[in-house]
Amino acid sequence: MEIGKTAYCSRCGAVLFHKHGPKFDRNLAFAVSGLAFFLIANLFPILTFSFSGNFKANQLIDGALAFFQTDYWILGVLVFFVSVVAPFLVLSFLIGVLVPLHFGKPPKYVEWQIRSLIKIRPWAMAEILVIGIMVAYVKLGDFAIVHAGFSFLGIIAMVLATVFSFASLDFHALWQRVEEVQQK
Amino acid sequence: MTAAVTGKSLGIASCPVCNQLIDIRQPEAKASHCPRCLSGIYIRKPHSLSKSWAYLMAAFILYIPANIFPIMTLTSFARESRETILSGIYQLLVSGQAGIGVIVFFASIFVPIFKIGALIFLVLSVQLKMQWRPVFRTRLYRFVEWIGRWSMIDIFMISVLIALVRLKELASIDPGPGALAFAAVVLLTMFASHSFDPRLIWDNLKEKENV
Repeated sequence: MEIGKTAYCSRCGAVLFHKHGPKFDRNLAFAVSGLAFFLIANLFPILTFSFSGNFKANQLIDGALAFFQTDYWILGVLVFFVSVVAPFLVLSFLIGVLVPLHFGKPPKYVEWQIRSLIKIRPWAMAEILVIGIMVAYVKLGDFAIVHAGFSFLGIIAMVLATVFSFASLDFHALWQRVEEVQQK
Repeated sequence: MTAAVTGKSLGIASCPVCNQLIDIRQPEAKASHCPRCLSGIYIRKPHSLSKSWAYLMAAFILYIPANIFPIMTLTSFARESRETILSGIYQLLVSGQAGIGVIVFFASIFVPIFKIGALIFLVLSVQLKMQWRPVFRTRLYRFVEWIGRWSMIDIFMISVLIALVRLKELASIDPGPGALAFAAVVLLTMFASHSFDPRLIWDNLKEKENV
């Protein structure tokens, strides 16, 4: 198959495979910037809120932590996993595989890393969190003064960087490259 | 419809994780693990229909408390106001936030009902060996897989609200039992669609061709 061509399922028309070529530099660049945006998203407030002279700001982790102060700690575990752990792991595994490949070395635990990456991806829900934050913003706007914080932009940037890092990632070529490097 | 050559008929399985094709008639494949990524391999997802049914039934039952019980409670100056999924959407609509209201309606009401309904239809269509529009049914499945996660919007919204609005007697928001039931519905429907194997739709067609 030539680079740039796409293969479709002959029955249902699903994309089976799109050939991108052997280089993963673009994927790596987006993944590294995604991880940098993830740090930013964790450091600053997402929303700030003031009501009758009281001021509050919340950070990414606070959404999960708040559930632990109620009877619904299990929702805290869920929110923590899908909004913090999974988006972080997806980027980390991708970087963990692509950095050694970039230097022509076989990545450690590569089967485990790629398998985990593929399995965790549906559970990384940062883009849905963005919409959830917007809904919360609108609801609070009715009775308090709410501002979007710097981390809100951080999350959006992380979501976009993650999307771009996977948009052109060709898993077939990735496995081929891994096997090439392992045989060296 | 041209009869397609399938991996199943050739004894070739595709790894569910990395799509490596594996000749499962070879003796070394007996270990039943993908040689490339070490995942378990199978021609079709094991117990696909019974697992999907179990998750769907559980989701269907929990969908009722998810809508009846409040997803959160606002306490302000000792006055409590409870919000359910529907009343939250209603409030957004009447307070002039129709756009956001429509998004929440879509994510929290339409998607779960559509998803449970579509998956029940798909599982039944396989069990009844339906021949009707396999391409449409496969696309329906892909759409359900893609859209399911978006129901989490309400759970994230609650997580932000309870973290921010925590001002002792002045105003505080606490999650309600509806939120727990609703999160369970979202997870269970995601498990249900992960356990369904869309290739079963096509297996039935071939059976009929061979007769």
